[in-house]
Amino acid sequence: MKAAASVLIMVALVVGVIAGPTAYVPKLDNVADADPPFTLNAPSGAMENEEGDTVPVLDPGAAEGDILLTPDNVEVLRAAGVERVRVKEFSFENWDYKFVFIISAIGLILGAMMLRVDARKHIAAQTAAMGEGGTSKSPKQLLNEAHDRVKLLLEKVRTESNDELQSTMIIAELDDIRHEYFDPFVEARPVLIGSYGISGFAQIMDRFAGAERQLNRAWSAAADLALHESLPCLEEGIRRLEIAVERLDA
Amino acid sequence: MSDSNVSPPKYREVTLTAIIFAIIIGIVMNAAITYAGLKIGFTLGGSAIAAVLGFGVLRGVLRKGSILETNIAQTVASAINTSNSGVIFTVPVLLLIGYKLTIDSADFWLITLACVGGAFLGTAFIIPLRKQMLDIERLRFPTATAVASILKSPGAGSAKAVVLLIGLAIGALIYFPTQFATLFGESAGLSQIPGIGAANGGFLGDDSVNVGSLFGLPAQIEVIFAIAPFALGAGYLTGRAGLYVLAGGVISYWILNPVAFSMGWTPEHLPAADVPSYGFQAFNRPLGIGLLLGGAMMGILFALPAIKEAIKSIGAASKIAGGGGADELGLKTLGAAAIAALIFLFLAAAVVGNKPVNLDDPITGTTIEDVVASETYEGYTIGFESEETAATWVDWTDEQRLDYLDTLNAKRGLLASIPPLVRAGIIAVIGALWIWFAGIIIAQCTGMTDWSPISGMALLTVVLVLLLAGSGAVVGAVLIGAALCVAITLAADMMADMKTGYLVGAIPKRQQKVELAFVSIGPLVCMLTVLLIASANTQQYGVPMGPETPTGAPQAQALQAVITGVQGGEMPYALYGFGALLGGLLGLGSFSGLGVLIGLSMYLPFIYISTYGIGCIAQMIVAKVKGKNWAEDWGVPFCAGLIVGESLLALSFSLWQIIPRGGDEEATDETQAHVAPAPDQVAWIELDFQDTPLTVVMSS
Repeated sequence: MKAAASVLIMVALVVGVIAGPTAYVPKLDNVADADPPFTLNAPSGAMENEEGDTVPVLDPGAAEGDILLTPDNVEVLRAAGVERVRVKEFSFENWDYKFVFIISAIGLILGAMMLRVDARKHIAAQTAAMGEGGTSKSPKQLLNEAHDRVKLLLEKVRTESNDELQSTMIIAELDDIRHEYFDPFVEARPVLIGSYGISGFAQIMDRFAGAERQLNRAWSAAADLALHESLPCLEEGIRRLEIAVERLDA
Repeated sequence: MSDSNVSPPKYREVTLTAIIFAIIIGIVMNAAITYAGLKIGFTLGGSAIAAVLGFGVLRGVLRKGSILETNIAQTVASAINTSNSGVIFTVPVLLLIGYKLTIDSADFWLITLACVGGAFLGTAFIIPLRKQMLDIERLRFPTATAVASILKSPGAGSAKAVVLLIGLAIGALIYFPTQFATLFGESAGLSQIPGIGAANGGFLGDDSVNVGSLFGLPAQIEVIFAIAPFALGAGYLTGRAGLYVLAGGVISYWILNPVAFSMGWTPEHLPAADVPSYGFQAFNRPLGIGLLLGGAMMGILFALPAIKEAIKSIGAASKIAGGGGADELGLKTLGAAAIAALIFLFLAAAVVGNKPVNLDDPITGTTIEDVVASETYEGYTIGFESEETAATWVDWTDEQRLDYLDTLNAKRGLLASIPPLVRAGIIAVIGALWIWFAGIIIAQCTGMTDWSPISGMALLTVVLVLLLAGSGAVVGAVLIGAALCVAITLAADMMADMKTGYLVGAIPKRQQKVELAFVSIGPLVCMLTVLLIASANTQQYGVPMGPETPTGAPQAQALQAVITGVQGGEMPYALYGFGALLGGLLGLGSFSGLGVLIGLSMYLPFIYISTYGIGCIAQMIVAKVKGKNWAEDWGVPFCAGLIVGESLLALSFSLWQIIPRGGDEEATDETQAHVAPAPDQVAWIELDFQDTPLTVVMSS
C-alpha cells in the first residue's frame, strides 16, 4: 500500500504542478472578449525582424506601459498563430486546467490517507516485533541497556588510574553505546509516537536528549583529557537516562 | 583518575581567548565576504572555517583550547559573519534606486538599527525552538554535523583526522579549477578548454558539467551538475531525505519546464535553452515558494504539541528534574530580547515610513536636496523643496495627485488609512511575527537539507510590506526586509550552532548567551563595509553600487526586479497559493515536512540540487555496501573535509579580491561582467554550511 500511495502522491503532485501555472496562461480565445481586458505579462508571438532574428510580436518589456489584450491586439496575436498568452490577472473562470488541479489535490489527500493507514499498520507490526520475545529491542530495553553500559563504564574508569587509558575507554565505549542503543532508540520514533502520542514522545525525547548531551560532553571532555569534567558528566548522563526510562514507564 | 590535592583547572568553554579570537575572525570574514558577496554574488558562512582556524589557533598555537572552547569560538565567529548575507541581499537596493547613505545620515543608522534588531530577533526567537528541532525532531543539520566532526577530531582518532584532511584536500582540488575564470580572467576558465569547454561547444562550463549537452538532450531539459564539493558533501550528510529535495528539482526542471515549452506556455520566440531561466521566474519560483510555505505551515501545525512541550519544558525548567530546560535561557530573557527588538523595528519603521516617497518635487520635477515641507496623501508622505510647491500640491485635484503617485508606482496600501505611528506599530508586529515564522522555515530547511531559502523569504517579506504600506513604500519594505533577512540567517545559524553544540556536549545556555552578546557586531561591520564600498564607488564611478561598478550587488538587483514586478502588478499571487495548497496537502501524509523539501528545490537552481543529489545517492550506496555505521563514521569526516576545503579556498579568494593590486582594474571589470548575471536571471540560495551559511548567487 505504501508504494501505491507514494506513486499516487507523486503523480498527483506532478499533475498539480503542471496544471497550476496554466492559471496565468489561459487560451487566447478565453480571454479575447474580456471586459476589462487582460494584461499581457510576457512576450507573445514570434516573427522575424529585419535582421532575421526571431522576436516577439508583442513584448510588454519593450512597451511603454501595459499591453492590454484589446480586440486589436488579440487579432494581431491570432494572426501570429498564438494560442495561449501569459497574463497578469488570475481568473478562475478562464482557467481551463482547474479541474485537473482539483483532481491532483484530491489525489494528494487520498495518497496521504493511504500512507497514514499504512504507517499505523507498520507501527503496530514494529511494536509487536519489539520487546520480550520479539526480534528487536523495545525503546525501553534500549535505554535500560544503555544505562547499564554507562554505569559499568563509570565503574571501570574509576578503577583505572591512567588518564589516557581512562579517556580511551570513555571514548570507545560511548561510541559503541551510541551505535548500539541511541541510534536505534531514535529510529524507533514512529513506535514511540504511536505509543505515547506527540506530547508524550516530546517529553521522552526531551529527557533522552538531556542525557545524550551529557554523554556527548563526557566524550568531548575525555578527548581533551579533562576527566574532572568527563566523569561527572557520565554520572549526570546516567541520572538523566534513568529519568528518561521513568518517563517511558509513565 | 589520578589523585591529587590540587583542584583541576576548570574545563575550558567560554573563555576570553575564544571570544577575542572569534570576534577578530568574525569581523575579518564578515568584511571580506561582504565585499565578495557584493561583487560576485555569493557569501559563505563561517562555522566550518572558524572551527578549523580555532582548532589551529586555540589548540595548536596557544595549546590550551578544548573542543567546547573551539565550539564557542565558531559560534561567535559565525554569528558575526552570518549577518552579511541578510544585509547585502537587501540594503543595496536602496543604493540602486538612488537613495544616499552616509555615515552621518539618519537613514544609515536606522537601517543598521533595524538589522541589529533583526539579529536579536532571529537569535532570540529561535531559542525556544531548539528543543523542538534538535532534541525532539532531531533535525540533521548536515553542515553542523560536519563541524562537530571537525571539533571532535582530536578524540576520534588519527585515522579519522587523516580522512578529514584527505576530504579537505580533495574539496580544495576540485573547487580550485572552478575559480580560474574569476581569478585569472575569463580566458583561463574551464569552459575555454578546447574540445570539451562550453565556449567551444563542449559540455564543461567554468564551474559545471552539462550532462544534457554531453548526451544531446533537448536544451529545455536542464541536466547540469555544479562542480561543487560542498554540495556533494552536504548531500551525503543529508542522506536519503535529500532525495525529496532532488525530486523537487527534477519535477521543476525535467518535467514542468519541458512540458510548458512543448505545450506552448512559454513565449513563442523563446529558444529552448532559455526555457529553464524563464520557467524559473514564471512557474518554478512562485510554485516552489508556495509549496515551501504550505509545507512549513503544515509542519508547524503538526509540531505544535512538540513545540508546546519544548516551551513548557523551558518554562518549568526548575520543576522538571532531569529535563533539559534548565540548560536553556529562560523565557523571560527571550521575551526581553524580543521586546527590545520589536522596539527597534517600530522606531525604524516609524521614522523611515514617514520619509517622503518621492525623490523629486512633484511640482517642479527637480531633485529635492532638502525637504522643506511635506504632505500626507494615501498613506504616503510627499516631500517638497519649498512651501510654494507644497501649497500647489494642496490645490491639486485627487486625479492629479493619483496620477503623480502612479508615476512613482505608489499604489495605496492596505494600511493606508491608519495613522502613521499605528501603521508603523502594526508593520513592526507583523514583521516580527513573520520573522519568527520565516526563521522557523529557514531553520527547518537548513536542518533537513542544508539549503536555506533566504531569497524566497526576502521576496515574500518585501511583497508583504508593500501590500501593507503601499507599493511606493520601498524604503520601509527594504528596511523590514533587511531586518528579516538578517534575522532568519541568524536563526538558522543559531540553530546550526546549537546542533554542533549538542553533538559535542555544549551547554545551550552558554552558547545562547554568547551569541546574543555578540550578534550585533555583524550587522554593524557589514553596514560599514557597504558604506565604505559605496563611498569609494561614488568617488570613482559616480554611482554607489550596481553594474557600472565592480560591486554589482546582483542579489539586490534581483530584489529590485521583484519590487518592480510588485509595482507593475506582475506577481502571480494565485500561483503562490496553489503551491501552498499542494505543499500543505503533501504534509498530510506520514512526513509533514515533505512540502518544504520539494518546494525548496523547485525554485533553487538545479545545478546545485543535482550535485547535492549525487551526494545523497552516494550515502545510500555506501550505507548499503559498507553498513550504516561505517557510512557515518568515515563518511562524515570526509564530507566535512570536502565542505571545509571549499570554504577555506573560497574565503581565501574573497580576501584575494579585496587586496588592491596594481593594473588589474580591467580584469576586475571583466570578471564582474562575467560573474554578475542579469537581475531577472538571478536565483539565490543559501546553503547552511553547518552554521556556515554559504550563499551562492547564480544564473538559473
